[in-house]
Amino acid sequence: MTDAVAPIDQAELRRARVVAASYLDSEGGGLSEWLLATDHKRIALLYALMITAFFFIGGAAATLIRLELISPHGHFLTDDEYNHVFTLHGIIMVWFFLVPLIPATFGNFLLPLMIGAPDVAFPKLNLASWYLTLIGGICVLAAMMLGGVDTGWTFYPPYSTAFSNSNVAVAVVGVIIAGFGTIATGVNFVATTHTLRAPGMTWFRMPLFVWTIYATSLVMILATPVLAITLTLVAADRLFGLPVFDGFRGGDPLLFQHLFWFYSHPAVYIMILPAMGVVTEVITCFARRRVFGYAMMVYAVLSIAIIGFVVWGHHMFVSGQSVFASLVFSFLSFIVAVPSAIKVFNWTATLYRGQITFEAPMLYALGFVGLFTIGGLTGLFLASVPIDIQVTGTYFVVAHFHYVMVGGAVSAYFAGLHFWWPKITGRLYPESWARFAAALMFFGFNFTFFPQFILGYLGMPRRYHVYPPEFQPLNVMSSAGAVVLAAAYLMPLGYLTWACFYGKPSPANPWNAKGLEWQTSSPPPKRNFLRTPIVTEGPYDYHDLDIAPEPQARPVDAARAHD
Amino acid sequence: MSARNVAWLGPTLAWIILLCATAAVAWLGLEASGRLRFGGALAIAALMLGTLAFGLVGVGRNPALLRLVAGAAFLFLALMFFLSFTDLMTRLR
Amino acid sequence: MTETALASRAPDPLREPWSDLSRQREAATLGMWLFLMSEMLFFGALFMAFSFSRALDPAAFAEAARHAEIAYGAANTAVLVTSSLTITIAVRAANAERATLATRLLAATALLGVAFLVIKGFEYRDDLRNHLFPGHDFALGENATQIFWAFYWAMTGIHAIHLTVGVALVLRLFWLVRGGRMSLASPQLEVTSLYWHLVDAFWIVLFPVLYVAVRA
Repeated sequence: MTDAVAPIDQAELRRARVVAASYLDSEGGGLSEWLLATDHKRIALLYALMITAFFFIGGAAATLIRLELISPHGHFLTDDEYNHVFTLHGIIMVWFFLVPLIPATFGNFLLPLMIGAPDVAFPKLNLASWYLTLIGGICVLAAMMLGGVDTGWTFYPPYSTAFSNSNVAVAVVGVIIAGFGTIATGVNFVATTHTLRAPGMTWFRMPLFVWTIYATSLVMILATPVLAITLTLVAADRLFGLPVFDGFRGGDPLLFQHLFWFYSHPAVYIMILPAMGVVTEVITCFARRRVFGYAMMVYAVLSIAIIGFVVWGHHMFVSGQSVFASLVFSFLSFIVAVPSAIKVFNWTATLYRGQITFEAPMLYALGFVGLFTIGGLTGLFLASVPIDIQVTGTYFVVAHFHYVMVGGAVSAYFAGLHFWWPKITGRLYPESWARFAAALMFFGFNFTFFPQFILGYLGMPRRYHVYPPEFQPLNVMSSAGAVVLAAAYLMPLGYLTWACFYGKPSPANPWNAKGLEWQTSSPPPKRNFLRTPIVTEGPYDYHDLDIAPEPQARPVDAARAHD
Repeated sequence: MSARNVAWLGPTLAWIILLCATAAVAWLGLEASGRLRFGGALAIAALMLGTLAFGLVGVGRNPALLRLVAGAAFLFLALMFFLSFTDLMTRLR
Repeated sequence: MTETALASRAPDPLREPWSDLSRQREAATLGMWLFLMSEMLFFGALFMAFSFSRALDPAAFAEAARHAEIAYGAANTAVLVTSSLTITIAVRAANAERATLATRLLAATALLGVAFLVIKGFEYRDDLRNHLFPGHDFALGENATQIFWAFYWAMTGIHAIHLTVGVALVLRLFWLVRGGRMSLASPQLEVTSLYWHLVDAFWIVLFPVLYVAVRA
């Protein structure tokens, strides 16, 4: 006996389609719908575009640097021009690329999804953050147009306040404005995590990526205002003649350094913590394992965030800081390495006896673990006062921070980009191209930066474009590596853009991954979930699952197959 | 009718304390000297801050989370002061 | 128009992504406290810089501080603490649905803020007449007294900017509530008062430290 089927209510069907429509289509595609978007997913894409643009500008500066360093005598840039180029590279890459890199893109896109929320706590403030960062960036570009800045991204007085003839005030104002955007983002994410978790999503059921975004946001809120005031004092000196750091009048340039590094050291944890979060998400998925030691991973993240605030003096060992203070900071810097090491051990233990497959995200994540370890270990060398006295101000330091920031954070970004690309765009990317690009990046990166450890140890100073001729072979090797690295960065730009238009449509969960973001469609609808999720289990419940599906064998979304 | 009484007594008492403290600070500045002025002014500043926080802002009635937020700011400020001054105070002449 | 009718014209204060007002208030208050935390680090770093600089030359700072007018500072402190009182009661009045009282007290708060800025303006004029701005015609010589005065101008200037923003925010609340365009239940009232108290808190520390504690 068949039941009579009620006639379909057309109006309700239309409403359901509107609710379920992808966030990319839901409000229309006009420019104003994007530039006035309050949907966290759209804002994430706005950030991604902005960050990519800044990456190319900072990368252009890097290209000039590596081209110049092929010759020991400085062949196409003057000393002054070289100062301008590395300053631009630093300012753009630190504040307009690395700081927002993962939090503003994946943090924005995924935080609400991962906790089962429809959006962040303050959607309009979220859009304001983007505009503040953009305006700050435009200010810095204006400084560049007006002739640039030559102080280095660290703006040390007395050079920056009393002697430089470059556009310090304009650049510094740009960084301050962008800093307000960062603080607003931090406030938004912390409030979101506290107040918008779905029913059943307790703190210790949250994915580790959420924990890292949370910790990063706390650091953003506490550290960035100190940068703002420090740079304000520099601007006040240049614009109004207020001489706070002037040694001739009894001020102390070291005061600037204390204030500057109080922010700038936690800033590097803003860059690396979210990267660590991404890596945890990817490794658990492609090793099909629960993360080893979830609670310890959480405490490690919080410890890094907190201890990271009391190590800043390790940037000042040769500045005139007292020996006693240097020893205190050295000791604390050794301590801060411990939670990072715990995380590396836990990732390794997660992989052990896993059912590992080597999709592109996994390749990038594994690359992260290796490169971050090298960067982190060399950080320990730098934390030792006598070693630092030898290698500070040399390419050893340059190599160290590029290993953690580029080998680390940027690799993790690419891991996340590939992992969540299907979720964000609703398309699958071509796997073979992606795996090749990942391998090329790893190879090109090491080729570029490993020689710099040796150069630094042998004594080549940083920020110099003239060097003793015996350093030339290693410099040429580094520049050659940079060509490979550049190619490895351009490849994803190519095939990911291709995938946007021609890639196979993605199902909701192409990796068969755990996490609330995979329980909604790819791409998600505007309000993220058709029904508020109710969470009943912890994260990473992978143990009973089979390995991630091969590209050909991935579940096809029957409804989408005819798109 | 809903409760339309405005609890004004607590804040007003806090205000009176703050005005008296302001006068006390001014007196210290004009009449006192040396250690008394320095220590006294800082102590009264702390008292005024506490009165504002507990008498007007109502921090005592806040949920624990918000008090933790306020406390965290002071903690990190204290660390900033402490470690910077460690450098300054231990430099060799 | 009666107060209840006034309140009922106001738009619903509930916003995306919230589904109930109490959660929204909780989030708004938490968000503002987090922002206050950042502001405490902002001003706190200034105080650290000031203290550090003073430790380098306490005698020069003492000499320099003697030229700061305590009368102006005390008057301004009295004005500002009174404004904290008025805004506290304004928010309580709003919670008790006393719209007229709330709007009057908001207006009073803004007026007191403007009074502070006017008094400060007179003080700045006197300071400039006395050549207390660091530069070549600085009254006290080429030494660390200039550093004290650099901090004076930077700290009071930054405070004044924050206060001006506060006055604008309070005036906005006054205008919206009086015009019935904002509900008395909106979290914005409480949140703005928190910001106002922070600006007051900064001055409450600044006056004893800059004008009194450091002076000779």
